Amino acid sequence: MIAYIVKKMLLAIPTLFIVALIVFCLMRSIPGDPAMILAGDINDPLIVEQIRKSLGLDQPLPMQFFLWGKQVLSGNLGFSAMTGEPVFETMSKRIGVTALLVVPALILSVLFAVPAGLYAAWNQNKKGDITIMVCLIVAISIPSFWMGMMLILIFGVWLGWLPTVGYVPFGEDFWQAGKYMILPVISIMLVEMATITRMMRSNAIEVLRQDYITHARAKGVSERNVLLKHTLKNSFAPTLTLIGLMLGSLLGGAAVVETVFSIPGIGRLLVDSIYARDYAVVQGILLFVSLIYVITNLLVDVLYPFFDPRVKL
Amino acid sequence: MNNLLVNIKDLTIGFPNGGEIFNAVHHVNLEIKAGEVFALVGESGSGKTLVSKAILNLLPDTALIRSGSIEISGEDILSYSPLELRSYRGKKVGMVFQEPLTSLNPALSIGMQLSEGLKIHSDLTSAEVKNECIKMLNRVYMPNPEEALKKYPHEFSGGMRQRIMLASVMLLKPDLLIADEPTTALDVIVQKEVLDLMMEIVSEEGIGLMLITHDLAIVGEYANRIAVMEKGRIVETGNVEEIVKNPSHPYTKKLFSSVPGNARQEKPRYEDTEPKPPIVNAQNIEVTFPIKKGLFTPDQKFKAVKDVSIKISPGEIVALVGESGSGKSTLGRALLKLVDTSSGSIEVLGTDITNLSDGDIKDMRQNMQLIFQDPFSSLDPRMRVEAIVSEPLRHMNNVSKPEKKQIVKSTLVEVGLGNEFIDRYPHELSGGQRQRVCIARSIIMKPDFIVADEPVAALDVTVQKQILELFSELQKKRGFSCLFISHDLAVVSDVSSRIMVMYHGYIVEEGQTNKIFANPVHPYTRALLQAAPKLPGHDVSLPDLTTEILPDNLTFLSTENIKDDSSQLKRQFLYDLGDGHKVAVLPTER
Repeated sequence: MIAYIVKKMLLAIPTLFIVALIVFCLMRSIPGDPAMILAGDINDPLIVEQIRKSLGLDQPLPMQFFLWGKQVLSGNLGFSAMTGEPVFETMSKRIGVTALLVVPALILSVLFAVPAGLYAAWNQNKKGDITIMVCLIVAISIPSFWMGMMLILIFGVWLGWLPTVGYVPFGEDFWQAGKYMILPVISIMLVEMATITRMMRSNAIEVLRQDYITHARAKGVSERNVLLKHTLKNSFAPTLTLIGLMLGSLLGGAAVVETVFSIPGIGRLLVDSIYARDYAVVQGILLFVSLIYVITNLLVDVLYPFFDPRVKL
Repeated sequence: MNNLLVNIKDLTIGFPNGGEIFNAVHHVNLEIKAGEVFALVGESGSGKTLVSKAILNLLPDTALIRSGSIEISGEDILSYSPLELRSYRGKKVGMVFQEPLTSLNPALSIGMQLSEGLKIHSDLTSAEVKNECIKMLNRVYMPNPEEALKKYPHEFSGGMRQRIMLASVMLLKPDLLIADEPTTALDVIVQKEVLDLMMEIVSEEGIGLMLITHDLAIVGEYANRIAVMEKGRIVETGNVEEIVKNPSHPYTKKLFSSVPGNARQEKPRYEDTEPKPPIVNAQNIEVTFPIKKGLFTPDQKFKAVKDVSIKISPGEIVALVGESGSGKSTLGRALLKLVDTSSGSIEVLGTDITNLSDGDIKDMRQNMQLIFQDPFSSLDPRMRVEAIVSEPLRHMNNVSKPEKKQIVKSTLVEVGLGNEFIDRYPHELSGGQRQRVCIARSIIMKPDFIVADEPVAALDVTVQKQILELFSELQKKRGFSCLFISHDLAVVSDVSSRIMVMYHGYIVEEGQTNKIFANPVHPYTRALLQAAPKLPGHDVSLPDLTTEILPDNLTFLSTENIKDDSSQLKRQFLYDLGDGHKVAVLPTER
């Protein structure tokens, strides 16, 4: 187990290096000069040149990569070209906000999706199953920004139950902060829940066909326990992998919902930084997100043997 | 009439199929008394499993009971409410399934799965439940029962899992035990152990046993009464001895005559009239697989094939027999260079293939073919029969498309499939037809050497017979050499001229088929022959083993020696008893 974790962490090093290289090259291949953008209306080539120099952009590309790499290895992700703040500080503030949005959304999705998937599988092709499946297809098909806008319109504007857009830190006013989070969490949740339910349903259908399920029934086990004891654990194992991937991608990619609800999360920071050609920030975020991917997948791997004892690490 | 344990009257089960209803079980009448071993026999699809599931009221949702009644100990179970059903299932009737690998839940511990039934059906405390489980595991001869409770199914072998299954069912002390092909997935020696154990427990408890099987030899050895099912109908029923002696229904006759090894005749032994160079000549080959260990510990090695030499002459069928995990498939694949050998040499058609490059071996491959065990997974479900069979022809650039199609057609005819099959997909074929397609695919390039890896193990007994006959016929006509891998000595006795017996990677005995059957020498070969179930009247008592056949300074390489696998095994060798009959021995230490 420990050997496995060490091995995975060692394997993460080349992964992160390749990510860093790709991100670096991609950013530089987008047209647009960060110095020009920073200079804005000042149309003085001298000043632009000065800015470029201060950002280290006058160096040849391999040299730039080398310098950046050296910096990262010493634990410094650099400074934002826009604000001058250290990238790491900016990022860690923003990732906290995103995590507050994404983690509850994912937990709630799982809590709804797992029973829904089991129930649908148990009722395969009957009324209950079909109703759930239709709802899922609707939830998957609606783009999350539209879902967000509709939620704002209904609960924020028409009914006036909840605030429309904005963000209040939990440290300031807990209840207010929670209220602001409800709609964004729901709009992320609906899509994720639909995906997990579908996965859960098809896994459970597969499990319900197995001999050991018939054997359990032949022993006189009630249908409830057939589902909860015999089906749940077996069908949740593959779903766990999916949830791990989702967590990784949501932490870096909740930008749409964050934009709709004006939440200062890391996804929005990433989009803003790309527009500003803020190389250091974009590179820092993407590197960080890949690290999160590696860690969540490692976590999934470590949890897996609990659900499927045949898997040994 | 109330002493009847099972009383099924006029049972008809149907499935909706389009607008109509297709009857899978027709007007079945069945009676089982307490203390009786009742065998329900039939091929796959005959409806025997449906009848057993109906007894537990566990039919699939789509199934309709169209007529009839099922009474268990005088109670009509079809009218039970779901609650009544739950207290009936397991308590009155227990069921053991075919596949021990899939009938235990992989995610739950053995202890949990054993205790579950008791917790439902009794008011025992947890400690009492645990005690009962340990007692039961002791009864099925499970070593370290207390430890076993904490383990998971994958940590046990197939035979052990079937014991656990049996324990979990017998814990509830049912009045009737249904065993649905309980040993089909097991090796012959393990099969005997499990069946003997089952009979022992059944007769101690005095309960009824309904044994569902396609294996008539098992029926002959264990059952009192038999019912033969064909296409949903019971065509014949009666006492086993009478039916074996004197089957009246044509289908029953056909079933009995299909039992392999039943009509064993003296095989014309393979004669080396003019010594030709062998097609396959492998010397001292070994195959090792690495076992991955931790990051910093070196990988261990697992030797699947140990110091095996094998020669196959042109036109000869050599059988390789052994239990699962003995390395027989690995050896077969090594001869085709589908797995790499770690030492030794393999010559096929005079070429040493052990060091051939990938490109060169590709050219050789048309001359060496493989037939797989499972015709359901060895055919691509998205390819038509023509595409499957003609695939090997794609290297022949000088042959036109219509000519290729002609070759495909004539090859299909050779394996007994008409032109109408050419456009079908594998799922439109029966198991036997699929295996014919597999055979057609491997003979179309006219290979000199074929490895047939359990080609009939997945087939029903009557189909098995047809395929074996076809195979022998094709072999005579085309004259290819063959390594025929099987776990079933009876099957092998019908086709092969020479037998090699493999155990844990070693060849323990080899010789002419007649010799091996008439005078098996190695203890493992004898155990194999003794364990195989036989029809009444076909018992062959083995001649006593005379230890004098070995010189004083040699002993048999025993199964214990092999399991220990210490370094002294380097000294084992095959001792020639004369006439090519060889047995694995060790020099004795003096």
